[in-house]
Amino acid sequence: MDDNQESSGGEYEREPAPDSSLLGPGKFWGMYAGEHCAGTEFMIGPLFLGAGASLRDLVIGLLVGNILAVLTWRYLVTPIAMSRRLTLYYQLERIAGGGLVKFYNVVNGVLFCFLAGAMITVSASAVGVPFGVDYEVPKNVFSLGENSFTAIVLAVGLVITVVAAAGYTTVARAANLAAPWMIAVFAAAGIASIGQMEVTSLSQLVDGAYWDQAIAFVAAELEAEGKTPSTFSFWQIVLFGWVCNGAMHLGMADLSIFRFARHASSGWAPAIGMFLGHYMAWIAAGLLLAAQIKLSQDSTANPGLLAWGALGWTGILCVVIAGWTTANPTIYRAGLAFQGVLPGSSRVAMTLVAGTVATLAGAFPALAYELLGFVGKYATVLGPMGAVLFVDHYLMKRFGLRPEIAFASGMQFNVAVLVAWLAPVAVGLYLIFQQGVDATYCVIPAWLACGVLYLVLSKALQPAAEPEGEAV
Amino acid sequence: MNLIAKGIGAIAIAATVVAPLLYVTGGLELDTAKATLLAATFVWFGSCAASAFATPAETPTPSE
Repeated sequence: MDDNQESSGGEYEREPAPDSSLLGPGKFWGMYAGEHCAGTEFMIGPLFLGAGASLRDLVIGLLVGNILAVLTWRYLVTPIAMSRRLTLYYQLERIAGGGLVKFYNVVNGVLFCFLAGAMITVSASAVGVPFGVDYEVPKNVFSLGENSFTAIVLAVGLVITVVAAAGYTTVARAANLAAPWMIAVFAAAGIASIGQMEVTSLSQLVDGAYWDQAIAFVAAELEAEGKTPSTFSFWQIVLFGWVCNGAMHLGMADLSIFRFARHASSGWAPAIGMFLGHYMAWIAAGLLLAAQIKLSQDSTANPGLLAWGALGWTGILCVVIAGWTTANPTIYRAGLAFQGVLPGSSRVAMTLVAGTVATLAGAFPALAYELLGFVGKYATVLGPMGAVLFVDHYLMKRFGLRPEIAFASGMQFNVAVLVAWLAPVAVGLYLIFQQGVDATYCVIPAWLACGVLYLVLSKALQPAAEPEGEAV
Repeated sequence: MNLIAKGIGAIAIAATVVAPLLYVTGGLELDTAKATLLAATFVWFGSCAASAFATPAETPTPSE
């Protein structure tokens, strides 16, 4: 799992990772520390405040949600990864068939592009600050921002795309070097914001009146516009913390990482990413907005301006570097996903395509503002596929069924997987888009439904006697 | 050299957290804290670069 291996698309793509490639827990702790301190953390924290999440709910809810996420990595992903030592894609191909994996790759790649687009928007918001270009959010999701902001997005997207196309080894190294600094800057952002709000005692800090006042300000603004102030409940926060990286743990994308784990204890490594990036950094970024509201009665979640207000040039650098170092691998992975669909295509060309799509997505400023909702939808779509892997690994033989049926029979499209995946996802998306259900509530039910459906459909569709396939 | 660079880097990270803490406790103005953060940033990346340059020189090459 060294940089060269990653940049070459990963070795052992169609075979188990050999013993000689296995890594100790330290490598995983280091990787997860950097991976989850992204530019988007500067966006998500303020969006929590804007959505009306109370500070107490945020502190406790994110604690619970992140613990659940770490447990999922440790007890769901790591055992299967260490047992099979295969990438997600190859393992899925053996169950679902090559054709279905291509379809999954397209979906995966497009969602990666939108995520990278939000990272580009966040970086552009910081680049714009020295030029006096504001990140303003149009009312319509699919409206462009100011021309000057769009130009900055295109420039940032171009640079990130070209670097990603060249391979991200250098960026990965830069990200590793920057990780401790970024974590310290996130902490500094929270501390400086507390000072800006004139919170000078522990009791004031714990009391959280400064946060409540900021929420009241946002609510009053919305009421003045004739809108109902939004709320973000404790359980929404718990679920958001849990499923924020749902595609990685519930969806088993990180099988590709943990297949290199020598010890199961490596499965605890995501804890560092969760509690630094998805706990401390989110709360610190939320405090940035609370301070901005107190100081200038401005509730706009502009990551660049927020960081500038509390940290000056260091904040600008942090937003740009955090956005850049995470958008790069995301575009790179999207390129690999697209390349998987068109095996004859070059990785560079597909990365350029992915970067172009991501940059176009980044040009719509409101998309980044929808990040809280997007993360839930992302997990709703990709997470359930992990249930197929779980059922295939643990339950198929117990129910007298043949695991890895596509590998055994040579089928390209396993209908049981297709229906088991898409049916719960379709219901989830209907509830989200038509009924207004929060996306985070749909992820776990969709995952469970997918697993049960896969088992039932396999029982109904699998031929009675299948020849034993070659074991991995 | 490598150890010195890492030590300086650790001081830079500590300064990144301590500067805003001093601002909260009234020991620093916000602008001074921001300037300290920027200086610490340059020191951190400088120490990383120094460490990267130093490592190959100080790592004994295994004999073939």
